[in-house]
Amino acid sequence: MKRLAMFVAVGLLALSALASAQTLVYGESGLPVTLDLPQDGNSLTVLYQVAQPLVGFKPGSSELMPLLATSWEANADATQWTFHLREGVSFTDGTPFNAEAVKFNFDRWNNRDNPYAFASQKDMAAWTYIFGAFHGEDGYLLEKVDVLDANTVRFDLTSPVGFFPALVASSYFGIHSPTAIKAAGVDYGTPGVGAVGTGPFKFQEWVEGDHVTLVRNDNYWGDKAKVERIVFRGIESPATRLAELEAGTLDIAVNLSPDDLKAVEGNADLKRATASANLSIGYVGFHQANKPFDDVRVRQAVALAIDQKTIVDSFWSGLGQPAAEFIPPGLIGRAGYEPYAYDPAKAKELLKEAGYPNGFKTEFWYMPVSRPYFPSPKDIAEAVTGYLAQVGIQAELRTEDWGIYLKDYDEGKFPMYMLGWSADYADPNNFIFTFFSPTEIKNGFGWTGSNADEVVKLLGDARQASSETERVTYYHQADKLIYDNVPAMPMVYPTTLNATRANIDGFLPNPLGTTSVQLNEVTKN
Amino acid sequence: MTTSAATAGNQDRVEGRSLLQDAFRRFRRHPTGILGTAIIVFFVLVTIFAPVLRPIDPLRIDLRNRMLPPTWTMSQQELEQKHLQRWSYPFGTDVQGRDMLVRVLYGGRISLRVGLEAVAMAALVGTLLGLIAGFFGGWLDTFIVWFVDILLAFPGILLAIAIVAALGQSLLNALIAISITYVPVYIRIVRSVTLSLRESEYVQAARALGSRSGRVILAHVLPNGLSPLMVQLTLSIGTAILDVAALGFLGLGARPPTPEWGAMISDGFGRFRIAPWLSIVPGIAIFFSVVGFNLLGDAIRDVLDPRLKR
Repeated sequence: MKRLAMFVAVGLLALSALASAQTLVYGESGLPVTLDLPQDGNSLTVLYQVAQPLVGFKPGSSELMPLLATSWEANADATQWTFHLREGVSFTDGTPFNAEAVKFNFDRWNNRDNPYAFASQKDMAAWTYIFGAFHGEDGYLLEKVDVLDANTVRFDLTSPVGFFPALVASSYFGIHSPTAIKAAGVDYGTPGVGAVGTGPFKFQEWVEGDHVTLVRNDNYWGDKAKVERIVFRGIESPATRLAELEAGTLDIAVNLSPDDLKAVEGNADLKRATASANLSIGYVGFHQANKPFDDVRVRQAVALAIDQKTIVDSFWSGLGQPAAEFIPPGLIGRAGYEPYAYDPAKAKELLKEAGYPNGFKTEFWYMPVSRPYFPSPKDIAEAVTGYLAQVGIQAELRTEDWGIYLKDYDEGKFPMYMLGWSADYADPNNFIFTFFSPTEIKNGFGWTGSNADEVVKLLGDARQASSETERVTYYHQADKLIYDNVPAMPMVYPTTLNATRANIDGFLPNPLGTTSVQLNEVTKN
Repeated sequence: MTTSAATAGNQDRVEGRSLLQDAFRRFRRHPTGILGTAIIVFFVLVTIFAPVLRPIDPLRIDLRNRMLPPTWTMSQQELEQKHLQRWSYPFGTDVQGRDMLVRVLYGGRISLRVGLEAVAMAALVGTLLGLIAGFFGGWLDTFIVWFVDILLAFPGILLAIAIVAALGQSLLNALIAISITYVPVYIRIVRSVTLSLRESEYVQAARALGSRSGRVILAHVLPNGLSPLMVQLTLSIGTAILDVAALGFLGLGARPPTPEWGAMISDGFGRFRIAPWLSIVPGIAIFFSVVGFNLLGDAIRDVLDPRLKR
């Protein structure tokens, strides 16, 4: 008993030391997985403080701004991009930041046979999300990186990409110290090693299952951090994150449940920290290989049968708006459609026309995990099936382990399912092409035929278009086909609920979420 | 204990009163037993008559009235704002705006039914195997005991989770899983009773008179081994209801939108601070139904124990 009391006392002392004015405690849904080309938001938020990409975002916005590159330009057809690097910057281990370091990083991501790719142990999957494929594989984008002089690099692409700086700005691509990677080898990015970059903070310790601590980089090239250290904690349940924030053991809590909006706003000790809008979308997909969803009238009937506005108002507590298109607000290329209005009578009529006057039986698969685009998937799914039942569609609710779910989704096993997307970079291509690329249009929706072919062609043309006006025209045409054919029903453009203690200033989530927000301007009073 | 029960039974007959009659007389004077029975009868009646008592569809969604607290706790002003009566939703509404009262009533149907069925299945299989193992002995006995030992090596709920994980999520699979985890207890009880009864004089006498094994088991062994079985049965129903709820809480039981108590608690779990009634209402239902069966089980044990006979 005495020993227990001592442990508690020591624990409390340690906690109070952590909670000093110079330490910012940041609660996310989990600790990092790795700091070497991670794929998940929890890891990326930590990495972004340590290793900076070439291009960043203006505070609170998705507009690009110089970070490690001071300027950039493309050749006439946007297949060659030259970046001018910031001079006089060093990694926190003393290694100079220069063109060679940039080339080292991109080469090890792009080439599976690079000795530092550790191809047998690390999959570097995040690279393919943005750059399509690894060098030499089907659909790869980055041909090579050339060092023009100490502070200039040039990227040669296999096809024109007008928005290339947005790709480089993805929070995945923080530039790491080549010396540190060479020294740590395959262990680079793991808890024992951490990561070395040029950011406003440097890695101090990572206690597995407990916390990650970063300390201020006193040699940072930009505005030095206002707090001395940040402690990142992984707390799985959003309700627990809020409870800790209320108790003052967290300074910042991200991805709270929209249900808790009132609790946040009604508490004078807390402040809401939401972006103006998030580049994100949640949708209900159909896979047309499953009858009767091959019939466009059935898909339209589903869209008409669901009271989208009420669902969004109820489950996002005003932190979401009903979606109609696959490009979220804040990006170019939106055609400005309204969501299908709630009209169960018309839905029944369409079902009758399609040969299902009494509805039909099907399965509706819901996500086993919560994401900002579907904060409580099961509840939302129950509401959706409730509306479907009113027009006679008996949808059985099913779910399974998240890993298997994504695999089964990709194999077209779900007649109807929920899924969503949050932006990696602020460009419509990251949305509409993610869903309707030549492979995804088949895998995700089972959509084939002349309309589908036309959408694929239009999106390919848009990617390579030389002017923005031309790109927008292609997107508008694709948008119309998608809106009319309803391969999926866009449900919501969500806004993620984050909150801080009232004494925290300068925490500005941007439309891409909280993964690409530098915390050097955050103050704790 | 069981042999003496058998002897006691014989004495009863001399007095012209059967064991059951005698037990019933004692049960009537057992206050906690009466209380347990009352609770169970209450639950059974309200769940059976749920459609009459509360003619509302437990699946009817009303998103405009979601997560309402029990309406009798609301102020008059709030009630008028939402066009509600004081007793519109006595237990509040859930995340979909469904009536908690009617859901908890329909949830009772599921919990009671699954609890009963799982235990009945387990008891049937367990009794059969226990009789075979205890009466015939030999390699069959060795094999069955070995099987029981393996099953008992796993914590019950873990085994149930593993079985549901293998079979897939559904209420029927949860029932099967729980049932399987309960089988070993019955095998053990029935086997030990059978072992001792097999050697008793009246069983020996019946065999000596040439009765076949089947007749000996049905006419002599089984009736005299019933009382420990009865006690275990009643107590198991309580724990089975808890296990159904545990599986439902973990998302391994009934599929949504089925109103199952465990799943309802799980729905309210993350919202406990903003809408505590979501978990409290089904929690109370589970509590009382389990208490009911436990009280009854204890009472049955008391009244069937002939040592208490005066």
